Amino acid sequence: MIAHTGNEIPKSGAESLEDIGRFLRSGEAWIRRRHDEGLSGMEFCRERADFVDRALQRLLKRSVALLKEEKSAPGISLLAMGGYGRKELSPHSDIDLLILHPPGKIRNLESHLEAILHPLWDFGLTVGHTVQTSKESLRAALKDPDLFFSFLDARWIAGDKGIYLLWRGEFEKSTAEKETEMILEIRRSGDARHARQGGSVFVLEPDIKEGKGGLRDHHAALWAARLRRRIQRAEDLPVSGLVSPKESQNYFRALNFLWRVRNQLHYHYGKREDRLSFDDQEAIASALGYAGEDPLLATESFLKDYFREALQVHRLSWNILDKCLEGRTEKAKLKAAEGPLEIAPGFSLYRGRLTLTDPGLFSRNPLHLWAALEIIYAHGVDLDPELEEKIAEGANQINDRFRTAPESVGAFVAFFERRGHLSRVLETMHETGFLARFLPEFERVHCQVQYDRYHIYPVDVHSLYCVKEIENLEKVCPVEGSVLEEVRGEIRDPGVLKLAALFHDLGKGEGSPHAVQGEKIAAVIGARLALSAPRVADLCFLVREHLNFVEIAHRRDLNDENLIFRFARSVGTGERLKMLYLLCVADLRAVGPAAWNAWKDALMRELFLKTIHLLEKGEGMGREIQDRTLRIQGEVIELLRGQVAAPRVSSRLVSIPPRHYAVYDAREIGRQILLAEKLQEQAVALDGEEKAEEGCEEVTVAARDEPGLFAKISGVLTANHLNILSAEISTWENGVAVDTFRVQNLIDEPLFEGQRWTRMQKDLERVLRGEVSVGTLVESMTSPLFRKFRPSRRETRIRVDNQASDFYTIVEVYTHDRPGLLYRATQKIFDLGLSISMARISTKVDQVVDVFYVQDLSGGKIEDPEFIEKIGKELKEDLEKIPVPK
Amino acid sequence: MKKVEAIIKPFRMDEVKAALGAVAVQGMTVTEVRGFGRQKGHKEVYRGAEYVVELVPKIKIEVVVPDQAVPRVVETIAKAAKTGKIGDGKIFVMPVEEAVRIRTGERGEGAL
Repeated sequence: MIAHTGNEIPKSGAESLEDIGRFLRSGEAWIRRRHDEGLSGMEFCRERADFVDRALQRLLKRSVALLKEEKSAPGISLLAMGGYGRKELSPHSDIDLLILHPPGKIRNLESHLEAILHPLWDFGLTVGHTVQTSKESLRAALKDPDLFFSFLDARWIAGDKGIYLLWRGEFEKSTAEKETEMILEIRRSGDARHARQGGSVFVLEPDIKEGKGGLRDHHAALWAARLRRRIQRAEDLPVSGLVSPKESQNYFRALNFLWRVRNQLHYHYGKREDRLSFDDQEAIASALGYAGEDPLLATESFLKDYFREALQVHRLSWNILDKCLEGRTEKAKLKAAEGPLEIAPGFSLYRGRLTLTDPGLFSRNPLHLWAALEIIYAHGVDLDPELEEKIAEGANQINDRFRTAPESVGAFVAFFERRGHLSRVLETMHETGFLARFLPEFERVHCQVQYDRYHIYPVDVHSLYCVKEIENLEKVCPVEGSVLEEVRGEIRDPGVLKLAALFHDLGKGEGSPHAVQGEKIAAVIGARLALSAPRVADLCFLVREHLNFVEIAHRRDLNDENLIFRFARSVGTGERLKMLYLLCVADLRAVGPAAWNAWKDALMRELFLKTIHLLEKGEGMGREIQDRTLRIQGEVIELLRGQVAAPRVSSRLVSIPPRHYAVYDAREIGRQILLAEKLQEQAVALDGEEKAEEGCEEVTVAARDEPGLFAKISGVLTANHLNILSAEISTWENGVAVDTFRVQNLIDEPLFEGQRWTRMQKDLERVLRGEVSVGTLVESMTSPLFRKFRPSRRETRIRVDNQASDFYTIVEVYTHDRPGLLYRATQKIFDLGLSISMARISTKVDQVVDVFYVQDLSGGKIEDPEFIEKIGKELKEDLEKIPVPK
Repeated sequence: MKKVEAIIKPFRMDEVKAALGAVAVQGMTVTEVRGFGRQKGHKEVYRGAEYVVELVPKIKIEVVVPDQAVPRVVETIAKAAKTGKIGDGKIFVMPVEEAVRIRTGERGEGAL
């Protein structure tokens, strides 16, 4: 065992470890300094690889010298693999080594390796190494594509060069047979990697290595070029003919940028870390010299640069990859055989990519830019990088005249109206800067970071994805056989929906709430795009309400009918609601892979269904009823002036269920509010009025709502010799119940006079305080009846309807009139564990139709069929027991 | 230590979170869950077609607290999640054997 501590005495010319360590340390310090001074990324990596090379060479030499004493340093060859092989060493990159040795048992191999490798670890480098014979390593590479690509990058550093050369020869022989197969594998695994990384260059926490437009994209291109053109180093790409001189200039500028960022990342974290995490973007940007008063703006400008360069790397590397596949696959062979195909004046399709055959086309007239986009829209083709460059140049000429030219407006809007490759068009417009030139509103949100940890894409990219999600919804529904699938087929104006998807977040960066700002922006754009007034209105509505819909669905009680009612009224039409629902689904799906799920879907669907049912029933939704509500509210405030403070009246008015305004007028509601005010001092408040022309009396009761309240009041009225002809009960939002009864006096004593009225009030108070049970009160009722009831052969019928309302189970009672009927029915309903929220009680001659809107105690409809049956059966039995007075 | 697990209505989440914060509960885990209780889901109707919804969306909140804090935490959740109706959800309390703060290696109640 050879000691590898630094303080040994050098023997036979072997260098001390201290010296090598000092060499490495000073190398690291020197390169760090140069990085801080702005050293370009690629140069940094090369320089660092060079001095690590030298350290390894010295370590090997030292070990040989040490082993010479034992006369037996084995012949090995030290190869750099992977990134180290490519001379791409960032501050904390792994040092991957392949150590080749001759076959058979080798003396001192272990000691030799320890003497070389252990010091590396002690120096703080992360070393990965494999020790194999040539044959072993080649066999392994054939099985494992990652290893295979890593071998492509292999580079000899030290030791026996002969072993390396033989190995290299063997390896290259084996690659020749698998060339096309391996390039296809590069392409396939690259696409899979992009999908894993969010599928876009523009993600908020990009991975500089693995992400789309990351360094791996460049490696993929480099591997393909190695296999196809036998080039050695990245620097050879320009002479390979795979990139034009101008492209290669852009390419290396972009690569230098990415590497510089990566180097900074490694320094920042003090370890290998390739993800530009959200929390540290500001620090990284600042360290790289992005300064300014507003650190957010500086960070954004850094990200914009990052995205631009990453896009460049992705575009050019994939172009190289495609060229390496040209003529090799069956499909590619066909394309190549076709030759250039003129597809439109000035454009041709060549090798599957759209190219410009008339280079002056856009500069002569920028409106020709639309022609390029129209081809993409119709055919969904890829663009030649040169054409993209030309579009970007052309886009710079866009001015106000271009923006409002009928040709421009017409062409742009048409993309949204018909079926075509809309997302491809928008992507091209976005990547070439066309979009932000044509719609300057996009300039502000370009690469705008969303500081909410929720969105993984910047605003502009998210907007594009949202449009794509609508397109996807049009093609395949994410949940088959669902409400969503039905709804998407019912949209009458998909154009407006897709425009809304593109514009829905443009208010971001304009201060919150962004939906309100966004509405203003949408109105401006809508006008510029010459959309009709109703379409602009729909567009604005969708942008304004998109947050509201999701907020209500996920944060509010969907069993609150008044809430849904108000929401339905603010939406107005079913058509708008459907678009809003789809927009919100698309919006969430465009946020990121996990944002939309069955949980969110269930709540959004519930809101959609409850709202659309209300809208389609139309009750209380019309303009008329809205006007009536506003008018009554105004009148009530006037009526009560001087009696109740105005703010109190307003808050009462808001607490009244919308339906209430359809039933009562201002005078009645004013009196009800006065009653409700009395509840601060008393348990129950009573009001009465003669309805002479209808031959009956009206009694209004206000009380704090409690379970069984309706039954208690009915019982007290019955015990006080009143036959209830009809009733309206309503519960206000702050727990006040206001019930109005039309009653018929059964005895010969005026209802509103003297003792009788006070007695009834007392009875109510006693029952509500629990001093006497309502049952006792009803049973003790004995009195000659003024009115005669006739026995009836009419059968009692109970109907339970669960379809008519999303909020209530409706129990309908058809029977003949008898005193105490309503009390018995409501008491039974209470005993069954149901609460009555609304009731319509009516009596025509002796035929009674009572309609109760009930919920179970959890505030929901009754879904259990057995229970529904039980309600019908027991209610019927109970009512049939009520005797008809003789 | 005990784990308190509450299944509540989604729209009560903010109230429960705020109420727990007010009684100095430091951290919690919130999960969107779906399930059913005695109600066994419900039916939705659109354009005459019926869609059976078997699983109803709920929120699950988990907090781990020292034993003596359990009554207060349970009461706080129950109060904040309550809408006065029995469909408001359920709370479960279960023993926790050990807690480890990964960063520092602290164990037991100190790691909560």
